[in-house]
Amino acid sequence: MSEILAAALILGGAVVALIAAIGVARLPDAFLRMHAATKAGVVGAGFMLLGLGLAFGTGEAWLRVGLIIAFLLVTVPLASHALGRAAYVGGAPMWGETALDELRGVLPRATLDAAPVLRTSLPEPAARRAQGPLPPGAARRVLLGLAQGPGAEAALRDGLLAVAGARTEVTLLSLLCTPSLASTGPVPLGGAFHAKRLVERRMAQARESAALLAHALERHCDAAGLAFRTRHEEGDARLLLARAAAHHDLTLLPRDAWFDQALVLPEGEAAARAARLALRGALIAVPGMAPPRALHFLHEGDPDSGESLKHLLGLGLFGGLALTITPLEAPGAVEAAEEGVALARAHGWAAALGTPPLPPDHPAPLAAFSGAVLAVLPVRAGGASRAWRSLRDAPIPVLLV
Amino acid sequence: MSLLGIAMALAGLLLAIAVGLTGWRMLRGPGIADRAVALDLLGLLAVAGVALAALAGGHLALLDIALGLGLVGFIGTVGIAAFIERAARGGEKGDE
Repeated sequence: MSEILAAALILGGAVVALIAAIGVARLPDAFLRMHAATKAGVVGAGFMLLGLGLAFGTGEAWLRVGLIIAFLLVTVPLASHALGRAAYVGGAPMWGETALDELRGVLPRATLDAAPVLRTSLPEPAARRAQGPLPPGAARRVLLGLAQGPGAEAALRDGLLAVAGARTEVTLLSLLCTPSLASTGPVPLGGAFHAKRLVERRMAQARESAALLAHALERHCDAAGLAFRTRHEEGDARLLLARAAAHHDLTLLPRDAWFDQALVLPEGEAAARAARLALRGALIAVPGMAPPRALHFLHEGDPDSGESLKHLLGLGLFGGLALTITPLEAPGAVEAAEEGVALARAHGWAAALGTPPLPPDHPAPLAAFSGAVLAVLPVRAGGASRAWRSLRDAPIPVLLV
Repeated sequence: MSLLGIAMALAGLLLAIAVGLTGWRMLRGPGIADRAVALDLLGLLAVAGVALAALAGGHLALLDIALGLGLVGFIGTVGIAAFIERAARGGEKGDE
């Protein structure tokens, strides 16, 4: 009887060990292989040892078998725990179908520690792109500044859907502002090591969250049928953003997010930074914004505002929408706005003069911009305009030209 | 051949296949973590194999080798784990 049991245990142990080996050979990533190796490995070896104890049947044999099994039960979980942690920290790739990563943000991970270069460049989905003439008013090339913050994903998605046409090419620019992310501030004596570790950890987390945001927006672009490509860059965010924006019709930035993902900004600060960049054709997007049905340009009455209006008309975006040009209270603003209306009409826009003139630095009538009216403001070289200051604290989409 | 003898022969064959599969994974990788996992399992398979050998030869003393193998496998795996982790941390520092 004991011989049958011993034979069964030995054979069963060998079968379980073989299953463990098949698991190690066939499972898709290191973590799953470890799961097969440790559990089934211990059970397989344990069964064979039990069978051996039964076959010998002496107390001496049972003592050793018991010792070895107890020893394996203590050491194998320890070793696999240490190995699993090391594999995670070392950035061992994880199976794509893995649903839950509870260590994310707890342990630093080296996966996305990639050099700041072109991360992915997907082939252009040629079949999907509509043929024929470009519909009027659709943006040709849109740059999405993937800043992370409250509502950034929704703001970028809704902003993109509001301006994109069937043939819009989207560039997803994932930026990390290294000067502000890597700054440590004053460090107490002996704290340099800890501060350095914190910076490393912050950078790793920022890279990971940036990659997640880029992935989410890639999926939104995919769902909308837009051609897109993704870039990841690290450095001075202002410089890199200005460089990328120079070759796009429109740059979308979320209202409440900047490129130092890990840091929390005061309300309106991110939008103010975006305005200080003085990009012509920057759309400050907010969650839930709808495609604009009309534009409302705030004219400050100076030549710069006129140049901005000319840029808007020359962009070729939003063509066919009603354009209202409202002067701010300033000497000559009303006359300048009338000139602007004449220019817009000459460009074929349905333009009208807004009345009465708005007082500068006064909260503009927000009701005018709620819903489907997009506020268009002139940018200032090196600073925000008065029109911008009157609007910057309101959570509405703003187009800077 | 007794029942136990047949079971031992079959078990030896299955263990050999298991060692082959695990060794293939260890050579193939692709990462150092995969190789370490395969090495860990190889240690366990060696313990099972030594137990089989002890039974086949009737030498109970061989079991002490199994105990030693388990110990070496444990220390080796923990050592590799520490190495992987330190290399990852060191790599991040080197990037700055």
